[in-house]
Amino acid sequence: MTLWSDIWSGFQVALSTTNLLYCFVGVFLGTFLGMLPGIGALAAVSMLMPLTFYLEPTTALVMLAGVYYGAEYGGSTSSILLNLPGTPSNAVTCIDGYPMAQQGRAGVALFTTTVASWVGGTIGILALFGLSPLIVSVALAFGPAEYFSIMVFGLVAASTVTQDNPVKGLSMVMLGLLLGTVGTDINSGVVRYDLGFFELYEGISFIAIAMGLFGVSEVIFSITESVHKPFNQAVTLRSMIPTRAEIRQAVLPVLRGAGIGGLFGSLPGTGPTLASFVGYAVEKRVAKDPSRFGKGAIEGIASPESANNAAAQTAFIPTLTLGIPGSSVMAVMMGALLIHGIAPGPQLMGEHPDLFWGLAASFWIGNLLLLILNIPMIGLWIRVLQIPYRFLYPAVICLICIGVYSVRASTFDIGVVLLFGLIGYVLRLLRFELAPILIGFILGPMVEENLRRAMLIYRGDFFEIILRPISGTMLGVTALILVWTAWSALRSRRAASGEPAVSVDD
Amino acid sequence: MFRADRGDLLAGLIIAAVGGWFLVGAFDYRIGTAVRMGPGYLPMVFGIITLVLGLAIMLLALGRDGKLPLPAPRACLAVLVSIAGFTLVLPRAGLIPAALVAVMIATRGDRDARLTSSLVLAVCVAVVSWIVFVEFLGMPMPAFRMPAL
Repeated sequence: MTLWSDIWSGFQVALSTTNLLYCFVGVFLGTFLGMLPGIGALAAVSMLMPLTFYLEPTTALVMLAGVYYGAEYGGSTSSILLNLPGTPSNAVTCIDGYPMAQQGRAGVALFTTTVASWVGGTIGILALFGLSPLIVSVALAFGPAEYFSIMVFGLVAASTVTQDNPVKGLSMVMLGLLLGTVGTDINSGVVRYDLGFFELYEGISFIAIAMGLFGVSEVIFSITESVHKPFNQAVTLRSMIPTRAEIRQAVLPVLRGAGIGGLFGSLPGTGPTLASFVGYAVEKRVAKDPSRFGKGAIEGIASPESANNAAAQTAFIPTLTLGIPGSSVMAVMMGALLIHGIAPGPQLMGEHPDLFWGLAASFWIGNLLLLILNIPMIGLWIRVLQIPYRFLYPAVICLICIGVYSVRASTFDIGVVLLFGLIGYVLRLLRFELAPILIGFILGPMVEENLRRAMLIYRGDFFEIILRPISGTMLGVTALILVWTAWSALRSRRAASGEPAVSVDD
Repeated sequence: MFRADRGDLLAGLIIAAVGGWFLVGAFDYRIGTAVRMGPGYLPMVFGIITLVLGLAIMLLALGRDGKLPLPAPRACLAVLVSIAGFTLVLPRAGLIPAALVAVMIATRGDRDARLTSSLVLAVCVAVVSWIVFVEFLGMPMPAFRMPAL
């Protein structure tokens, strides 16, 4: 079996001293940043990305991935103890996790989410191992028309499916695509929208955009919103052990959550947040007594935490096999790969097998490290939660500035961070979701290149693209999503204008 | 006064303006044809779509109520000026002064911050970032630099 030998060689790469060390550093820092309310997985990954430029590509990705799923783990701790979700995908864990902590069952809740996260992550990794070679074998036959269509589908799905206001989501993707056109056009060598700055010839720095939009704007929001709630409940190792009845209640939800998460993670535009909400909704529906939910039901934390960690792992499937990131965190991961000169896509597995399998194996080792980090060391994390935010955010700002500067020793890029911090803050005030901007920005140049090539092949006849089976199906589904979006936008408007004036703001 | 969600009205206006700006800019470059697209072709298409989406957001904002969101000027200003301070000081005086300046300005965003605690925090952040980034990771930036006269 070649699959087994691939997995085996992957574990050999992942277990090298350097990779093991950076995997630990990644999950440790990820857990730390994920626990802090206001810093999500996206901000954590983009803030720590410059630290990895001095590393080998595989080691760099091992560490960044560790930061990502570490943040997903860590976020659940602040959900349970403070009722403040550390990352958006842990928001649903607050509903039953915080009541459990108030009933004095904080230890059991933390233990359950940690084990559920581990099981979910493991099942997600198995899906990654099993599915990736299959997808690669199909994807090797893809031409520019297929790539163009899959990317358009990804962009539309990511900006409409999970958004409250799909029209605003689409406009954020378009903003990302427009920002992606800045810089030298690879086909003609013409420099576009440089505004006279030679620093923009290579395009806007991806890290500067990510840090400005997510790091800086989140810091501004958190300063104004942070409410410091002290937490004074001793969590001992003994109090973490669940009863036999609690274990029995949690097993099936964990497995269902992992299945839901694995599916949603691999689809573009859905990801861990939606997976955790669907996981919760399913448990509430299948429960014999749904009224227990919201009052500390263990199923209500087991399934979402399993789902979001499974999704965090399967999100790597489209990124690594097709080179198409399904979420903004994956867009950052892809940016990191590109900075190291590695183009993700179906050829990645063949050309850099050590990177692909090593990374995949490191996920499992990282998940194991998280289990160790989160159960015996819970006391440390509780102390971290007691650091007031006003001591943290000035350090975060310095970290952002130094990180961006270190990429290419350019103070111009810190200026870009400043500008996008302001833009991000204004857009968030106006209730825009920022994540689609990054996906658009990363995919923009690739959409353009593949469309140009496809149009050259088919002599400018767009119908040729539609008539090809895979690209036609993708574009058809995309069109359906757009029609549904337009219809629901008009319907909600009609509903709103029919009723007497009801202010949405409270 | 007409009924409209003023927040969304402004949001749509901004999006439409950005789309329009890129659309006008696209005509500075060769547009080309669908077969052989010039550098201006896709920026033009993207610009048109963005412009239309912006107008759609504005249209959908009509006929329902909504207020303009209130910004938090103090936090916003402190963070942005702190970054600007770092940018200005780093090339002239080096990493440690830049970090000191950035932290001192950033702590002004919190109404309750005392001067002494800000100072202690600034020194800590400056020293730790010097150790981690310059000494440990070997990033090419001087801890101190004499200002060029």
